[in-house]
Amino acid sequence: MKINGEIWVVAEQRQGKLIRITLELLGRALSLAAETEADVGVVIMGNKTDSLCRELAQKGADRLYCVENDSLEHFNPELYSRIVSELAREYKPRIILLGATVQGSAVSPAVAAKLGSGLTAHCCEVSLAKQGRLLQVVPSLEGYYVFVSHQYPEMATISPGVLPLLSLEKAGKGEIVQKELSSLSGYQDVKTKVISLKKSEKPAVSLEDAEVIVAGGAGVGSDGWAMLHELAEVLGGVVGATRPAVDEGWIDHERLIGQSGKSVSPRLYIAVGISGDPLHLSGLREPEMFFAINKNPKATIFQFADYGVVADYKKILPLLIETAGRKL
Amino acid sequence: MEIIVCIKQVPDPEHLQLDPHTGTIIREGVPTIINAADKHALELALQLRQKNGGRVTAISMGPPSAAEALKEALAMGADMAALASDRAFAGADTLATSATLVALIHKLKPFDLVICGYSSLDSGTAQVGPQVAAILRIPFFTAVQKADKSADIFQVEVVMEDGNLVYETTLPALLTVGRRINRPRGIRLSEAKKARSKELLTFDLQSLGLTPDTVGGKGSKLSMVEKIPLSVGKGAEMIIGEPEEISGVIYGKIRNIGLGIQGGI
Amino acid sequence: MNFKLNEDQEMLRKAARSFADEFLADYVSNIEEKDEMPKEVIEEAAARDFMGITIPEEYGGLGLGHLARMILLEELSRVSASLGMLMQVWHLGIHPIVRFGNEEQKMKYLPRLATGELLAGLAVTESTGGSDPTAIQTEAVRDGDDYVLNGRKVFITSSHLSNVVGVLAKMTGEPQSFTLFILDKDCPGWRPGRQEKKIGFKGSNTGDLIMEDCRVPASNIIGNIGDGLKVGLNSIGEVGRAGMAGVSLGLLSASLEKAVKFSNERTMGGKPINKFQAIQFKIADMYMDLEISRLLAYKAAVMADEGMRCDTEMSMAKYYSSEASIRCAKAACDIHGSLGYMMENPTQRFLRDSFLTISSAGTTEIQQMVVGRAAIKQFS
Repeated sequence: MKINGEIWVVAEQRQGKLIRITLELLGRALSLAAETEADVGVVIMGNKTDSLCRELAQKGADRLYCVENDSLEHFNPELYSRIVSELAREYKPRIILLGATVQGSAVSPAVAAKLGSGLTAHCCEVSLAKQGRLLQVVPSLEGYYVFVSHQYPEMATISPGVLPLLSLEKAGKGEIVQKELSSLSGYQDVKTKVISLKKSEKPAVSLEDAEVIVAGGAGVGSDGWAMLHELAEVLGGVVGATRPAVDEGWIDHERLIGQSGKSVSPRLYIAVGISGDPLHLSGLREPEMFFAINKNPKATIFQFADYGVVADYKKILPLLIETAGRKL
Repeated sequence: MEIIVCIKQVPDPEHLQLDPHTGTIIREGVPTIINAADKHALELALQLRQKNGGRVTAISMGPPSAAEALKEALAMGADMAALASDRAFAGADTLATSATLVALIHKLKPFDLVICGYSSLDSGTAQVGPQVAAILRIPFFTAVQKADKSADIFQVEVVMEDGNLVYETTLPALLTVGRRINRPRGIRLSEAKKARSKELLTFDLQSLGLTPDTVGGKGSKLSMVEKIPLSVGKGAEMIIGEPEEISGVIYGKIRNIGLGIQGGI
Repeated sequence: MNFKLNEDQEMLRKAARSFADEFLADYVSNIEEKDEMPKEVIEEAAARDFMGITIPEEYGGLGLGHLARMILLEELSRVSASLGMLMQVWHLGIHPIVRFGNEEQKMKYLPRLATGELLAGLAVTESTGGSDPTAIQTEAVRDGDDYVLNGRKVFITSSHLSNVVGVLAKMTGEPQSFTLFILDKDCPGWRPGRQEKKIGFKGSNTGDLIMEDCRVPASNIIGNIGDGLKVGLNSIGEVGRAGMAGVSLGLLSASLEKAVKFSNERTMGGKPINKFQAIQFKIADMYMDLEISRLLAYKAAVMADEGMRCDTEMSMAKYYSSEASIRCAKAACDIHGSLGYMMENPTQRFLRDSFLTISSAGTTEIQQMVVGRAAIKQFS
């Protein structure tokens, strides 16, 4: 099936380097394009974009919409969303994919509003229906919802880490469309100035790269987290959490796994006090071994785990910590 | 400073349960609360009012019962409230919701700042804030950690994945805030007592000057075409026994895939 | 007759519940462990205007009355009966000043009691027992413009926290002339004594108050010399008993909620245990106990708000709800099986706490005497 209009990815860079989600999106855009004979366009905003354009072209992008300016070094929500919507107005892409990152989640709704488009958030999958419409799959408490837009461009943000990172070896047409910031309509009206970036001092917790994750949910309660951290430590892993645990303030948002948090692919996953709805499990990709400990024998998580334990975790974890922590 | 705070009434997630037969959420009889992040938005508004003077207006779109959430906002200290409520608003996606809220905000003009919660507990798209800003054509900032006004400059600090970005902008602007920015004050009884004499305006489709095709389900650009129920997994192999046995079995399995010795050697 | 709370009362409940669930709940395990009420809990409760709920608006309070107070205590005690108990006693100490104090006394104390800058208390009981206030030994003797008090009060709630305490004393040489004095920090010669260790109500401080040649200005007498018993008994009857009913309502709600939650989660033969009649019957009785207690307590409070005499109704409410709180705490423990007895589960706390509701503000037997006498008088 052939469709009109390009499939776009809005790239995201930090200090001149593309972040992983951009390549995940590019991979998916290329496979959608292959089905439809469409071209893939990438929007790049930054203060130095040459090497990024080259890299993206080598990895399959056909057209690079490039806006380079010193004022674009850091993310500016007002300016970035104006650029993307102006470019989309001019070049009329059919689909725009963005990462469900802080940047993508801020830019995409503003662009959708300016263009009058529908927009889904935190998709775990996008594919094409027979008629060529973009099917957008969003995890929810009760399963997965599939949405379609009534208006082009069809827009979606996709959670980082849920799409496979393909090895993109086939170069695209690589045509560069360089845009001057000052040529964009409404540029003078932008009121927001970036003053500084305060880099975070503590090293970010890398859930994405962890081999072992001990994840806690609502069932952990307010007082059991030290135990989870201790277990994670003796197993050489890190602690993750579900939305309710983060919402309660029991643990930092950066440890959130699932919708609006991180997607992880550890070898070992130990779920403690987690009921197991798709909002959480959509962020977990095929662990080699998956344990679930929950007091409720009917918890959904027991359908998905490899091994289940119906018990109070406070009785099991101390023993496990002792065994695993024992010097051999 | 004239501040508008957007509030959403949501089902209390603590009381949400799945129907064991249909696998769908049981919505009936679930108590409602003010969306958690929205309370933090209101708190920021009250703090800015304290420092800069002015008024805080809480607004919402929802069924008539959403007035309860607004009354709570009044009891927490908002000066007035306004509700957009009409059958025609039902089934709205975020864009149709934002359009309705903007129509309501136009009724309350002038304003300096709109503050929303970062995302809602029920749908969690984090879209309405930026969309309201886009339609109002004002600067916006999501995941705001700090916001302060000195003279004519409004300074905002935003949380990014790798650090915090500091911005300056002019007003009017829109902010969305998460739950780490502050600790919302509770309801002071003296404020609650004052709340009943505060104004709570209600607008419908007509009084907002909207037409049915721009709002609600009709004005939405998204449709749900399918609900994929929870898939049933293959089911876990259950480990049973005394805690000592269970922990022994778990550890053995972990060792079998070559993990779990970090602390030991 | 209208059994529906009005909008203001619903908002009050929401205010109290959100404080209890969102703030107080985080401190409960700490309160149990340390047997101390953290300063920030008291400060936050004060910031939310809970202290001044019964103080008239012209003295900086809210003037919301007895039913509002009942709802507040119920909601606080649902999460921490200990804070409910302290709050009840702070209100109890405020009552004599509101009801019987003169203008000067009201201006002197009420505004600062309303903000929580000062905490009130009421000290009647001595080692001779609480149920017969006429047996007290504390004596007051006139010396110039002051009275000098000597004696020791025991089992005084908030003994170590309160700084404005109503003390019942008898006048030296006049054994029937009981008088209530307000002691504050400007009265030298009084101090808290020993602190009791209780099986429950951890963090709700109980202890002795010792007066050694304590000088109290004559202007700190509530009402007149000889009014003390009337003032004291009215306070205990209207406010103290109401308060213990409120605390009991909170314990009842907590036991019922916890029991229902557990009976939903615990399964037997693949079914939640609340599908079995044995459990349903228990839960039905608990629910009935809660509703009966509420009806009695709210009715008595409404009567008090309307200025009607309500000592019998308050006694009924206190008697029924306190006994019911023990029954229901036990039922909640029973439904939990062994788990109900474990320190990790709050049901043991409900059980330990519920026992103190009996002896505070008049034992069950005292309430039975009040109710019995009233019945005999009315139906003779």
